[in-house]
Amino acid sequence: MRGSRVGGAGGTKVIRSELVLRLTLIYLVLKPIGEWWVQVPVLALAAFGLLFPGMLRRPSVWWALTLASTLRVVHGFAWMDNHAYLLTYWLFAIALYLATEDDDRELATNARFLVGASFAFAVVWKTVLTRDFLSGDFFHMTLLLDERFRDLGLIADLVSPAQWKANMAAFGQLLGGERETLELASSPRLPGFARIATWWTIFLEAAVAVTFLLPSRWRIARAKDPLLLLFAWSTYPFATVAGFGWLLMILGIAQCPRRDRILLGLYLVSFVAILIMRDAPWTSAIFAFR
Amino acid sequence: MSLRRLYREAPRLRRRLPVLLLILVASVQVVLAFHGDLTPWKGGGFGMFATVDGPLVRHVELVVIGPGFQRPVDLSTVPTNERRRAANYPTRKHLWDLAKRSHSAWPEGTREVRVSVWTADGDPRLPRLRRVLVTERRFQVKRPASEAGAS
Repeated sequence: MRGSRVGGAGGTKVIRSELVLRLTLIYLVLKPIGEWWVQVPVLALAAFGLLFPGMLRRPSVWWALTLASTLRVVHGFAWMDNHAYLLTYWLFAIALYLATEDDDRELATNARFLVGASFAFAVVWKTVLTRDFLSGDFFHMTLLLDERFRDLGLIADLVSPAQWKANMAAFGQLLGGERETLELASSPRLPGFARIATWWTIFLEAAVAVTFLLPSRWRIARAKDPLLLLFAWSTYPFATVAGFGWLLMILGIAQCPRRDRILLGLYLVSFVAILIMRDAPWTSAIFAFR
Repeated sequence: MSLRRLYREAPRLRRRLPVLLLILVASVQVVLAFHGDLTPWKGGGFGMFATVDGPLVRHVELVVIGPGFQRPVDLSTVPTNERRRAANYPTRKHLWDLAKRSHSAWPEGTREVRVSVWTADGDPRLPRLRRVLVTERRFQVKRPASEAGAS
């Protein structure tokens, strides 16, 4: 039975693919993708796949989902987030797996390489291709100007509400061409925090990339799942990018050794937690409580 | 060897197609970011959260020029996706597409349209930001605005 095949690379067992397929469809229902002409067919296919067991493993369903997701990224090439691309590759991997009757190991290996390659490119961008990141400029400015990090900045006393408001007003003037430069107001703690966030991110992303790309029989590769979970738990409570978080958890589950029920449980808990953290304004609540 | 045969006889290659596609798209994105002004945040290269130069700070301005006038055009009526496309990936075509979308706001007699894309950049004396021009294009308008055409 393909769904419960064992014997992955390095002798590890891999989990049932049904769970992974279902979670992928749940993801598509929870986070409808694209414009209406993509959303409608994708929602319909995902709902059918979840409701009718016969549809779940039908390759045509997954080819159609792959096509819809591909059209979405081609149409929105210049504004689509990176997880839209990752989702497309993942749907393609599932469709290939079901169409060619490969065993679960192939789906697991694709999941592992997709995580590793996407993190590797992220690290190359941060360390080699831009100068903003390692210098700390990126976090410094993001913590002061990106709405998604506002609560983190307020909770950690990196910026006061009045400073935030003044920064945003001045930033609007900069974008509107009313001024050429902008001096951002912040607390003295910000530079140190930005430095720590910079090196923490680089360390974790590089570690995830290396451990996911190395052969799974290597000892160091055993650290890959705890590292990915650590990345998720140190990122998604603050950066509300739920789409990427869910997808990473699904890919994590897809390549997670079956025998390791604790890891599987942690991935599932994380999947649900990202949903809760997206919808519950917990950071605002902490700030209000303080 | 035909592609079909290659596909059939190279199961390892077939199985790795999703990852190979990721590497191909991400590599193209790197080239476009350096040679086509594509923001590193977009295009599937996983450069998000790596640089300040992202959708948060990219901004498009459009100025129409005619005999005796030069004035900015409010782009808020242009569909969001057109604005995002022009700001994040300011090719000549994308900028002209954006300009055409705003032609109802051009005054009679418009002879030239100037579209510029700006970003913000930090300088070594943090926390200071400055406005930086990404690219600017000028389009000569030969016909009436309603049939907008550029040279």
